[in-house]
Amino acid sequence: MEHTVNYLVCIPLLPLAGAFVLGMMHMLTCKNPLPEKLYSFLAMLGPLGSLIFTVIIFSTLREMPAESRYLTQNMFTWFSAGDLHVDMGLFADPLSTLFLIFVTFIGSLIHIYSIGYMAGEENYGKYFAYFNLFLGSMLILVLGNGPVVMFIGWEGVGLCSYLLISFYTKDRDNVLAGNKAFIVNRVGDLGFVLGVAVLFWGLHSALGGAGFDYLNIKAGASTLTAGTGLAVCLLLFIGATGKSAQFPLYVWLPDAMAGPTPVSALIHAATMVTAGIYMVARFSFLYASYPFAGDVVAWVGILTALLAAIIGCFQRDIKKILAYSTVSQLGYMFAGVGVAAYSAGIFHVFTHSFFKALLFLGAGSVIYALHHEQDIWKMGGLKKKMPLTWIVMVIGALALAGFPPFAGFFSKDEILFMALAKGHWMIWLIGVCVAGLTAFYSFRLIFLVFHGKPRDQKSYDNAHEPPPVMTVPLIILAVGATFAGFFNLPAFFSGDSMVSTWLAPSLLEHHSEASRVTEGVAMVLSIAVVLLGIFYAWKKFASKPEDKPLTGFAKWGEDKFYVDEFYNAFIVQPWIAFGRTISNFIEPNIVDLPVKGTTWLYGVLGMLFKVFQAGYVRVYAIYMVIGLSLMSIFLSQSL
Amino acid sequence: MIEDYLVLSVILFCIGILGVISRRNVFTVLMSIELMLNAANLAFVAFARLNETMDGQILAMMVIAVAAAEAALGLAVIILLHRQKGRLDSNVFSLLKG
Amino acid sequence: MHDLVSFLPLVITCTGALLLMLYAVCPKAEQEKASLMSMGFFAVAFFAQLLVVCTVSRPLFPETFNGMLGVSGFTNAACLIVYACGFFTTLSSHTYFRENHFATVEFYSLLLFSAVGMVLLSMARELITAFIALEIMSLAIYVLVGFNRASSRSTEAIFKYLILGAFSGAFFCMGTAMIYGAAGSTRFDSIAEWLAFNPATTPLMLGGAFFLLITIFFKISAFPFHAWVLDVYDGSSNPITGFMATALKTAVFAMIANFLALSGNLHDSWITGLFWIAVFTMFGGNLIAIGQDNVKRMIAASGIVHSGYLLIALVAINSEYFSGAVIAYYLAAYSVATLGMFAALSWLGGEGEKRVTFDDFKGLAKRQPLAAATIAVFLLSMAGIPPTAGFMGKFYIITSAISAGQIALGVLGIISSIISMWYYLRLIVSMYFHDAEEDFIVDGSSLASISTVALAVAVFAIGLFPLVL
Repeated sequence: MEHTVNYLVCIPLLPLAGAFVLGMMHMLTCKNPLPEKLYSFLAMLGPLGSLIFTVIIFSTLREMPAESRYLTQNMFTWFSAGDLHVDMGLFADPLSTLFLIFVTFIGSLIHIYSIGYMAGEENYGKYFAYFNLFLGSMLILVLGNGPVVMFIGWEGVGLCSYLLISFYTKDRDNVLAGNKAFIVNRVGDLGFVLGVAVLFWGLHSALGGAGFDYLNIKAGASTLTAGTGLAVCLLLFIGATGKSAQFPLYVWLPDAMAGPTPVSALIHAATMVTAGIYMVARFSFLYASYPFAGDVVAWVGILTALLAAIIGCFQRDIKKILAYSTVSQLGYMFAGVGVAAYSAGIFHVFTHSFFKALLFLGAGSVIYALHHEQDIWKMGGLKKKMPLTWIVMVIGALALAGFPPFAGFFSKDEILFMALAKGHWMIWLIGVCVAGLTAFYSFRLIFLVFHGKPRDQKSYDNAHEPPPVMTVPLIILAVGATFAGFFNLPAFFSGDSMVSTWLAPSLLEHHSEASRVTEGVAMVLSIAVVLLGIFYAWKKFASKPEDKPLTGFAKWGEDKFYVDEFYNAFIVQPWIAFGRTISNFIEPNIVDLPVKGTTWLYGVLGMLFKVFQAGYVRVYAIYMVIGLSLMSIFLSQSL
Repeated sequence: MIEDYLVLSVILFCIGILGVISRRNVFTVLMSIELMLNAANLAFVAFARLNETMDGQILAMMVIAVAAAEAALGLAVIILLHRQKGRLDSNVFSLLKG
Repeated sequence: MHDLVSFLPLVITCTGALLLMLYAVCPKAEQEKASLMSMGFFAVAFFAQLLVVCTVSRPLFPETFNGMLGVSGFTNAACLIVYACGFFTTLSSHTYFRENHFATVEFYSLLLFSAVGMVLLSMARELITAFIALEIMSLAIYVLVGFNRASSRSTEAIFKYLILGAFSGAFFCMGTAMIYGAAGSTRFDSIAEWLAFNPATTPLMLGGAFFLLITIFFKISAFPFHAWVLDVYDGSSNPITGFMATALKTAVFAMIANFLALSGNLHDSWITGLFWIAVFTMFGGNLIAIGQDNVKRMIAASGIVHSGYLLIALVAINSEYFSGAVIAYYLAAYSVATLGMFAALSWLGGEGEKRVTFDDFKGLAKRQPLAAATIAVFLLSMAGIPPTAGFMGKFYIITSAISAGQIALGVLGIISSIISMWYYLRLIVSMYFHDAEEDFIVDGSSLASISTVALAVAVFAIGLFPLVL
């Protein structure tokens, strides 16, 4: 079977080329910009082209026998030093293809939506250049044939998130939010780089100069010593907590709301935050061998889910609520991959990308309609003005809450059930509680925004449905959020677990069997908790919501448990003080002194040599004769 | 016998070098350089005799021709220098320095 | 027949020089037309040379002119550089003489003659041929340096150059005589043959080679034979300074590399000496350049430093690994940047070269962003910042030094290039971080501006495709 193809590169290359062209166009014409239509047309070419190639790859892979289902492309040797040999190559297997499908599909939809959302904004071309770059980086991340190539995309999405979060550079807060995202990500990246380095260190004799890519790593993984393997897993997981916003590095994601809303949708749904899950799943052959590492991943995930869900219940900003819901859902995913239910975790990524994109774009429509008002306590009653948005948002909220038969139900339930089946009943219990909280806060949002009476009459009067270029993607995503769950219908509903079967060759997982009765009971219980959450939200917020100042625990929740303040006081400030000390005392007195002394010396010597250039031809001849004499003395030594 | 020619040649060459670095009159400097070239010619001819080939003689003719061209240009420059400053002291021409 | 074909470019240049000389007699002769004609001759010669490089592969060494001249890959590269330098110099001159009115038709004729000398020098396989070529080149250059007879600076420059050049030429002559005495011949192959059977430390042979090197060191301005270079560059017109700094150095290096490469064990006794000369040349040049306020003098001094780098490559020549390609590459990189600088100076210099000091270029970036950007490119290339040609050149030179076992020299080369940032960046700072004090009104459509931009592109082109050469 031929595994080498030459069109894989087109997938990341098309958006990257688009980014380059758009960027050049924007730079050359920033004073009198070209028509927006031209930019948006060019911006669409890359994502759509990638989508088409993705479909081609998908159908090619389907033709192949399941056990050797992958495509590769080696472009060139990137570098080769000692045993380390890294090819610039791409690798598509079922796992990466699943990611490709939703990244390109949802990415394209968000591009289309942006055309409407960003209309009339300044730096229109720059926005789309960054967007294409973001997508291209994510595609490199997903398609890279080894951790080193993956790291290009890993850093690329980090860079693009920074650029796009601080896109409205005029406001200092936005820039700071971009900085925060970038710096927190860097902390995680350090873990990733160290993990890859340790991995290579452990494997270098097994590799023996062969390419440092997934196939070879997987083949040599059994030679790792237990300590090294565990260290690799934990270090890589630190990288994942940075990119996928898990405790303790989740703090950047809620602040990332500073960018334009489609950016949030792109970060939360299609790109960036799913990178961590992808990476853990990619190294499933490692994590499967170290149950302790898996436990750490699962516990960090589920606790993050709980923490974020509690915080989410008390937020006022529509986008912050969604942001915390993302953190919380990512926690579920990590819990899934942590308990070695990789396909369940990945499937949740897949469904989540639909309904989270839907919720963000819906929220974007609301914000767009209300002229950038984001406080849910200033909205209300929008159901009448924006019926379509209301419908899609309700679908999104139901999917998020995990209510059957919407997408979230199947994937979330699969994770929880797998946790239970593998004996992690504490994780299951917390997971069920989080499901209830999720239902509560998502319907709190729906009720406050769309129901009741308008609390800000003026903006209510001006509100209207967005243009079709924005609503069409919403409808497509709503359909996805409704039906995506059926792709992996479990055996309980006499489904055939299509996605799990598809992913099976890429992942190393052991399906545990539990009785149908347990599965049924667990399912009913979680539906009941969800209904409870919705009911409580309805009771509290549907008819007569009261916007009174929060106290006690709720106040803590609204203030995000002071995690940011804690980091600021105990990490950031001491670090800044350390930096000040260096810059005020050590740098000028100890480091600069020799440098300044040297430059002074050179200056003086330069002046001295100027004197020697006396200008008399005779003197120059004398220099020559002196040189000649000295050289003669030297020469006579060798005779 | 042949050493004597060579010694003479070296002496002439050294006189030339000394002339260039010690004399200030541009004319004398130019003549010192000619002296150095002629020292080389003498060496050529002496070596031709020693090696019993004719090459050296011809090479000396070539050098004379080149020296003549150089001298022609040198004289032209001297005239130019004299026109500008009215003197031929090489120390006068030190406008460019530093 | 092939022999003559490979000399076709030389014939073209020579014919061009003679035709222009005849044209000068014609009463209606105009220097603008002459400049266009010489541009044409240089361009044709360049392409003819390119054709020769591409088609003729047979080494011609023994047959041609009784072994007096020879063509090697390195010679070809040097010839290409010389013709290209000539072409761009003519472009700059065309602009330069719009504001400085002292050119005549003979100027271009002499330019072609000096190119003939340079090409002959790089082809020379015999010492007296080399001497004659050296003198053809030098005599033409002397006149070009002093072409502005009204200017006392120009006259002083020709005076200093002529006296010291002739002085060093006498050493060449004496050295040739001594080598002739020792080896019985002045042909490189005969000398090499002689050296193969006799020790190189014969006083006559060693002394002769020593005298030859003195002249070479003078021509490439190695320390301590460098003193003339600042004054002469300063006193001559901008295009000619560029030509001298690049083409002349290329031709001389071609000649010495040919000579040293042929006489293997002669070179062995020289390595230590060359080592110290290279070190002193680099650091001495740097220190002189630091003290300069005049851009032309600074570039002259930096030319000394670049000669030091090239000497590193010469040190690294050994029997197994001839670094001729490295030298050719570095010369090309250096020539492009230096010619570019002088093209830019010709373009912006103004009447009577009124803009020459660092302060004169204050705020250029605000008034003439393109010119400032190109100058910055040239300076960065000279300083050796990637991805310019200068970086690749330095990289190759230092790698070749290290692979030849001269690690200390490689390290010193790197240190020297760090020091050299001082004066290169000084001009960039002056152009970009100061406010403009004048308008920098220049003729925007001049040929010099075209050649400046073309050379700036070439800096990157050579830097990015190092394998072409």
